[in-house]
Amino acid sequence: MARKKQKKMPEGVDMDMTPMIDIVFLLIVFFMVVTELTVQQAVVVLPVASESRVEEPQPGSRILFVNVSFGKDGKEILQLMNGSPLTPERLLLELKAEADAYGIWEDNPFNPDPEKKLSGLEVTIRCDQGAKAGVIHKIFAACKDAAIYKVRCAAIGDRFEDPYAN
Amino acid sequence: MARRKKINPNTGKIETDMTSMIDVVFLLLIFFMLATKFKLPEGTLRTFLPKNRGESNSRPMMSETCRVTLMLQGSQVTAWADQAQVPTSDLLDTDYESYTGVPGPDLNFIADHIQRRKNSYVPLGDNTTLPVVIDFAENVPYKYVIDVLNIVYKLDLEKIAFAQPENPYE
Repeated sequence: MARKKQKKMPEGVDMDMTPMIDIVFLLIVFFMVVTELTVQQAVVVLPVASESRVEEPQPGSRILFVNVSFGKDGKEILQLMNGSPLTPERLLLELKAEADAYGIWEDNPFNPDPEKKLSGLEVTIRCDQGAKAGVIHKIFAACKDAAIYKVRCAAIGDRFEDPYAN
Repeated sequence: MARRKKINPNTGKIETDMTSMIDVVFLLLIFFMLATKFKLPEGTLRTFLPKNRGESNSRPMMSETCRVTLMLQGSQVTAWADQAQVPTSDLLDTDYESYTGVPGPDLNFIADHIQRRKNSYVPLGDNTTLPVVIDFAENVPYKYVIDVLNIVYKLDLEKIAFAQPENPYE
């Protein structure tokens, strides 16, 4: 009599989880590269300007950010990079120090005097859209007196969520 | 008699339990998914200062320039394009105007005015394009200055100046 082969009931279904673990690791690497854990700049609501352009910084260039935001008391705060609040006069001193430290000067086509050279520093003004525009005059004046002529105003091309929603 | 230890027939194979590592990996992934904020890149509008630091004596004649003036009257921003008063917009177009509840000047009117001036401009001297001067009061919200600057850039005008207050440090 032929022996009946008894079929064993499967105890469980084994799934190979290796590809899923690979995907998870790739996701982690992506987020670790993309995430900035520290606040680099003051939080300001930039105005929307469709003609604003994202310009890649040139190698060797240095860009200073002048942030104009609101404090908790609603007063305007002027900061250079992420530093302490400044007055316009103090901003001028800081810009002059930064220009001297940067040390790259360009010839002034309007004035051959070596004392009147222009700094190669670039300044980007990140001003909250609700701030008083008079602060721009003060920043421009400080940049002019510090021999910095490369000044830009930061804006975003479009905005998809209401920044005042919270 | 002491019990003999059972010998595992698969002694050649070392297995490590990876379950804990996978748990930690998932926790890290959840942390980064919650901590990551995607934001749009910030662009800039060029507002390079004159290299002569404003010391030049040659300035375009007033009749040549197109002057846009922004002022704040109460909570309302009013604008003039040359001598023409800019009407107030009917809608709360932007998030800022929705937030304040006050409509701003009609930017299309300003754009049309500058376009007409540009079309009728005859280049004189060094000015190959229509020079535009943006004059704004100190307390005008910065947003409107950028709006006017954006219009000027859209019309490919290169000669842009901000009217200087008497004492900028005040």
